[in-house]
Formats: sequence, structure tokens, C-alpha cells
Amino acid sequence: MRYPLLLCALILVLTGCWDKKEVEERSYVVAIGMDLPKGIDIEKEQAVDVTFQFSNPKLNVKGASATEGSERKDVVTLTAPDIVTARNMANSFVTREISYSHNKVLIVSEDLAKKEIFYRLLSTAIKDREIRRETNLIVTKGKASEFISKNKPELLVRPHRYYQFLIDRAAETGLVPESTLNRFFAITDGDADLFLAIYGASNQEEAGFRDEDQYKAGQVPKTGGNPVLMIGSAVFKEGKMIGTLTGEETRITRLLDNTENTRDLFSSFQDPLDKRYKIAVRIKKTNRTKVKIKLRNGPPKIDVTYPIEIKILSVPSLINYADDMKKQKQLKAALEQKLKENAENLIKKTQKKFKTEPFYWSLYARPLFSTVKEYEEWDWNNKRYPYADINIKMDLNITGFGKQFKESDIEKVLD
Amino acid sequence: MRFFNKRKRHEGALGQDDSAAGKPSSGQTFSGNIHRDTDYIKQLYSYPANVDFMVREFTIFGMGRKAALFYIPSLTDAKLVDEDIIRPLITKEMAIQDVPSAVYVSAINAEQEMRKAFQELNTGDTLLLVDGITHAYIMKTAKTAGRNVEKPQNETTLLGPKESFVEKSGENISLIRKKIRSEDFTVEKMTVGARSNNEVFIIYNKELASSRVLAELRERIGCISKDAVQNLSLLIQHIEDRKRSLVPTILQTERPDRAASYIEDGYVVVIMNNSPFAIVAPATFWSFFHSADDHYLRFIYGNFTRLLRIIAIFITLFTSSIYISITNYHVEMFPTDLLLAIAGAREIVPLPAILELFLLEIAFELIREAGIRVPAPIGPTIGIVGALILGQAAVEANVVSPIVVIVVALSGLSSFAINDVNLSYTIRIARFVFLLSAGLAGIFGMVCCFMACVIYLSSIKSFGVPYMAPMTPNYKSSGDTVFRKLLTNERFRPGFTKSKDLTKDTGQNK
Repeated sequence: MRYPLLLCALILVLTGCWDKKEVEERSYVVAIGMDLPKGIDIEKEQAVDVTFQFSNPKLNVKGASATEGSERKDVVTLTAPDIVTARNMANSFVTREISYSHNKVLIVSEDLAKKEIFYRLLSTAIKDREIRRETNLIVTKGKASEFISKNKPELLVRPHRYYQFLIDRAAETGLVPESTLNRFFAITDGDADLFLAIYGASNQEEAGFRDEDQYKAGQVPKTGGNPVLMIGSAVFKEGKMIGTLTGEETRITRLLDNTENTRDLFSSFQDPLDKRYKIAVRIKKTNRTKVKIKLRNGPPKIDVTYPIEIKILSVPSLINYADDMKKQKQLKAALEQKLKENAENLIKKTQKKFKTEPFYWSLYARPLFSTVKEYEEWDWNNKRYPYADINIKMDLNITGFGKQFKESDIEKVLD
Repeated sequence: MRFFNKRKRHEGALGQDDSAAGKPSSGQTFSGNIHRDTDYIKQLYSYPANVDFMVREFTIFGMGRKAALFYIPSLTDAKLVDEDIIRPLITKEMAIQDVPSAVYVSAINAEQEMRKAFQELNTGDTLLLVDGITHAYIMKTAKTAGRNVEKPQNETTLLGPKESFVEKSGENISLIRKKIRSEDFTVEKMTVGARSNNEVFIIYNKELASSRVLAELRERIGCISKDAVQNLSLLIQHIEDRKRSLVPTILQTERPDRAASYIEDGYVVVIMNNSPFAIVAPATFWSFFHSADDHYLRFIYGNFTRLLRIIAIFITLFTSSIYISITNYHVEMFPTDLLLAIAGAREIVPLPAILELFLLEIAFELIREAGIRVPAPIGPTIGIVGALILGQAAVEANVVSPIVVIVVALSGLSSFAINDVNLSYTIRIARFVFLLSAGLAGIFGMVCCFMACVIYLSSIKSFGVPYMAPMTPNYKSSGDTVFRKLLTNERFRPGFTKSKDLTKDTGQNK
């Protein structure tokens, strides 16, 4: 009887000790921004501007007002040596313990991402217990703090939901890459491939009209809505940002890469029989992309089979493809040609410009060696891939022609 | 205590002084002299001061001898005594050779030893002394007041039989016996309670029951050294394995059909007067977990209810402690939305989560306890005032957060899905232990506590049978543990009962 009583007493005494912390005693950060600090030479002294966006649990309380004034109080920025110590610094004006455990995104300005210090700053994130490995990395064109404070989701009240939905949906459409911290560290430490991070922007710039996925962040022609948008990717090599990819290029990367998948990819192609119009299709990857690397004395030979399933969604030229096998063949050949061309262009670009690939193909080169040392000496990264002989074979199937097969007879309509 | 004992002894002495007749020593026999014996019995029963005792003296003409009839009117069927014993003995004109051929009652036997004869007399039988005969005739005339067979109250089923045990052991035995029509069905009688002489009936199938369990049971019942053991609920506490343990090791059931099926599986059943249920030994964890409906419902339906029940057990045990450990130690385990909902609700609550939860859990237990004790006419008030108004008002007043009300209501509701009363108490109390360990060390504490529970459960035994058998240790059985098999595939009696015949299939026996 003595021990249970003792335990009961302990509960009263120890409540509030150790790791125990009530949920309402913490502030939950949903987005962390990192910027280059103003007026500090980053080469000489380690410093970073850290922006926190907090989630507001007050929304749930009856009678408490959820709306803030004109100034946003849930976003704060401060200059600190790194993001971990920034937590305590922020407590000089945020009253509760700041928790990273529900942080969804890490937003980094392009300027900072291009510095060598960036990877060093981020590596502290591996050590911190609270930072999740599935946190997404977003690189922004302007300042990260601006990106966060300008972000006013139109349909969602809670900021974490906004990030969650945006990333989930963007990953489904394939316009942005999968860019978790875990993948970032895995690829960077593997020292062979390119890491792609989500590329976002908060400022609009003029870029003219293009096909639906050929934009980079900030270029999408739109009016109204949230000023913040994400499309395309920022390319990281060895922990440092070295360039960008458009939405289309990001999609191709995702299709060629077996470690990522896309579900809902809508795209448009020129109609092979009537060049004025564009055929809208839904692209689906059915099987794994087959990658075969052949070691040779000179540059290696890489054979890639690229399996794709296509459903036709709209044919504005009103040419009846469904009925005519001949026309179908033409269409198939045209689509194959176009997709192959796009992929080849991207591969050429990565070979020349980035000197390595973002498709995680080093995974197929590694088993060809019996020791790590041999593989490292062979040097996929700089010596082999840029000169490799890459063959792409399309494996394309048209599986559907929409809900109604037959097109309407345009001549009768216009009659 | 010693003081009371002394006093009791003293009173006993007084009583002896009053009656001036000592209790018959064991082995003392009737003298054959009717005057001496009658006087002795009268003094023993304080006749005529004791109203509830009848002596009828008469002469049997057919034998030409004096006779005396003794019975206790409140326990005896007076009509039977009048019509079937006294009338034939008095009115018969032919010569009577022996008494059993002269009376009409069905059960009659001769008893020489006084002490045994009085024991029977005390149960409502009629004692007949005839002058010159050195033994007494005991005739079965007992008839006690009691209720009829009614529907089960605690172990209700959808498709099972609708009769339950009553307070009369005779009827209870008949309720079981009518399901097992076999000469192997055996009922043994033992007497406990030195003063009140309570009868205990041990029922088993002599071809199936394990002799070890039987011997153990007889010994434990025989060891009880109390003046009175009124009913089974008290008897259990004298004979169970671990008297201080949280878990029950003897099953109580109020369903004759369940008792019968346990007998058929080689278990031993005990019945007593004044107890509307039977006890089953040995009992494993699974016998508490199972309900009669599991087998009466079809295979899938029965297993579905089993699934619900095991979920209910885990919800009762763990929801509140998981809530505490996650909110206090492992916030990263919550989905963000839920976390913010909880944090928002807790914003204006004054108590730490653990106290908040303890408060509500205890309130719920109070409502539950009050619901059992409250007189039936105002029963519904408890539910309305206790649960609805109290819960609603506590949330409105920001004393507790609504999520805690949900957690407590969920675990409380689930505890009602546990069919056995004893198991339900076990789990409800164990829940607080888990809550405590979660409050002290989060999920780590819960895991430690759970491991301790599992170790404990697999270490205890009931009448020599491991508590978690046949799951661990593994015995040959029909595998009727969490889920049951098809009836056609339930081929074996549970091996741990050490039944003499392991197979249930008739074909394999021959």
C-alpha cells in the first residue's frame, strides 16, 4: 500500500519536471524561413535571419477572436547564429517554448542557398531532436521572410494545412519535386546526384505565355489569389544551389526517377494533324523506368526505357482519333517523339550545365562495383555521367480517349 | 477480534447451560429409548421456547410402538408431512413390518449417528424416531421459499437460453443436469461452516474432470475453518489462489448453459444454496473474456463480437493513458490539427492534463457506482444529472477540456462492453495504474507497466493451471482464445484441464 501512495505523491510533485510539457505550454512553428542577414559578412561570421511562422491554437477557443489586426503577429524574424539557437532567442518576445516538432517546411532564400554556408547551417538540423526529416525544403526567389509573410491562403485558416496541401498536391501533379530534408541529406551525402528542392516565389514577373508546365516560380500568368506560388525546382549540387528547372523539366525528372512517383499529370501537346491546336493528355507512369548502365573503357552506355500511359482528355481540333487506327498511330508516334525529345533535352542540359543528373541514377551504377572504393574512384559524378552515351526508348501506350470517344462534327456545328 | 471470540465462546457456554444438553459428539448414536431421545432433541432445539421447531408424538398402531416426528416448519413442506407420513402411520390398520414400507415419501433413509441426523433435520428434512429402534428415519420433505427461475441479469445473450441460476441449489443442479443426461454427471456434497453447516455441491463429469483439480478443490473447501460461509461469493474468497491479486482466478457464471459446457470440457463446477450462480474452476483469462453468445452466434458474428470486446478492453485500458503520454511527452505523435485543437481547448483550463483526467475518471467511476446502488425508480436521473449535466457544465465552465470528456467517455463506454463483472473491475482498476505510469514517464512508462502486467499474467495460476493457457504455455486445445474456430474444427477439450478424454469428436473416441 505504501508504494502506490508514494507514486501518487510523486505525480503531484513531479508534474512539470523532466520532459513533461503540457501542449498549451508550447508554441508550434509551422514554417521556418532562412535568409542572408543584412549587414553581416557571412564569410566572416556565421549568422542567419530566421523567420518563424506560428500556428494559432486560439482559433479553437470559443469567444476568442481569431483575426489579427493589420500587422501579422504570427510571423517573427530574428538574426541568430543558427536555427536551433534562434529558438531560445525568440523566447525574448515569444512567451512559450518554441517547438519545431510540427514544422512542415523550411524556406530558404535563393541567395542563401547559393552560399556554401547553407549546408553547414542546415546540418545542425540533423542533430536537433525536434526537426522532422520529412520537413520540406522550399527555395524562394526573393526573401524567405517575405514569402512567409505574403502568404495568405485564401481557403485555409490554418497555415500548416496550407503547406501540407500545397506540397501534397504539387507532388501529385509533378510540378515540384519531392524535397524532404531526408532526401536532401541522403543525396548530398551520397555525393553523386543532384537534389531538387521546391522552387517558390512571392513576386510575379512577366514571362509571357508558354505551355502549362514550362514556367518557373513567379512566371505563371495569373491574376488574383495568393501571391505565393511554387513551380519548378531549385537544383542543389553538393549542398549548394547551382540552378533551376522549369515545371516541365521537374515533371520529366520525376518520371525518369524511380524513387519518386506522380499520379495526376496533365499536359498538352501539339496536335500532329492540325498544328494550331493542342491535345490535352493525362500522363501516367505504369512501370518502373528501366535503367541499364554498361561499363565501358570510355564513357558508359546507359539504356533507359521510359514506360508511359496516356489518356486523351481533349482534342480541340475535333479530329476523330478514336475511330481511326492510322491517325492513332500518327498521334502515338508524335507523342513519343515529343516526350523523347523533351527527355533528351533535359539530359543534355544536366550533362552540360550541371555535370551530373537529378534522376538518382547512381543507384544503378553502384551495384556494378564490388567495393565502394572502386565506385568512388570511377567517379560517376563528374567524370562519367557528363560524357555518357544515353539512349532513351519510349514505351508509350494510349489507353483512353475520354468519356466520349467520338468528336462532334465541326462542320455540322458551324453550319 | 480476540475480545469478540471470547464473548462468542462465553455465549456458547450460556446456551449450553440453558438447554442443559451438550451438542452430540461425533459418533454418538440414538439410544432407542424414545423418551430419552425426544427429551434430548427437545432440549437441543430449545423446544418449546423455539417456535420454529415441531415435535409430533404419536403411536403407530400397526407396530404398537410410540413414535416421535421432528421437523422445522419453515423449511418443511407441512402438507407432505401430514399426508404422506403421519396419515399412513396412524391410519394403517394392518401390521407394519418396517417404516419405509409404510410411508409414502420418496426418499427415506436410516441414520444411526445423531450428529448427521440433525444436520439433515436442519436442512428441512423430517426425523422420525420409533421406540425400540436405534436409528432415526430421515425423510426428504424440505421445501424452502425462493424465487422462480428467471432471465439472466448480468450475462445476457441474444440467442442463448433465457434461464439463470436461482438461490436453491437443488434447482440449480437440475438446471445443469437437464443439459447433460449422463450417468457420469456427479454431484458431491460437502459441508462448510462449523456452526451454520452450509452445503457445497461439487459437480463434475467423472469421466472428464481432472482428478488433480478435484482433489485440490475438495481440499481447499475442506480447509475452510469458519463458523459460517453463507454463499458462493464468500466461498470464492476462501478458496481462490491469490486473495490479494487484482485478477480473478475463479469464474462466476449465472448461466446454467455455460456451467454445463464447462463441465463437458472437464472443468469442475461448484454450487451452493443462496447463490444465484455457479463457480467454475480452474479459470483462465479466456474464460473471463468469453461470453456465451460467442458460440451461440454464427462463426463470423461470434468472432466479430470477440473482436469488439478485445478492442473494448484495450480502449478501456489505454485511451486515457495514451492521451496523457502524448500530450505531455510526445506531442510530435499528434496530427497537427488535433494538436492545435487540444492546445486551443486547454488554453483556458486551469489543471494539468493528468489531474484533469484523474478528476473525470473518478467522476465517471462515481457515476457508475452510484448507478448500481441507486434505487431503481430514480435510476435514470443518475445518467442525466451525472453524465449529461455534469459533463456539459464542466466543459462550459472551462474546468475540463472537451477532449478529455471524450477520452473518459470513450474508455468508460468501452468498459461496459466487457461482459464479466470481475474482469471489468480488474481492467478499470488497472487503467489507473496505466494512467499513473503514463503521467510519470509517458509511453515509456506505459510500456514498462504493460510488460509487468503481461509477465504477471503469465506467472499466475488457477488451481494449477497457468492463467494464460492455452495461449502461453501452449496446450493442445481447440484454440478458443481471442477468436474461436468453426464448431466442427473445435476437436479438443482444453489440455490444461488435464481431462481424461482429450477429443470431443465421437468418431475418434470409438
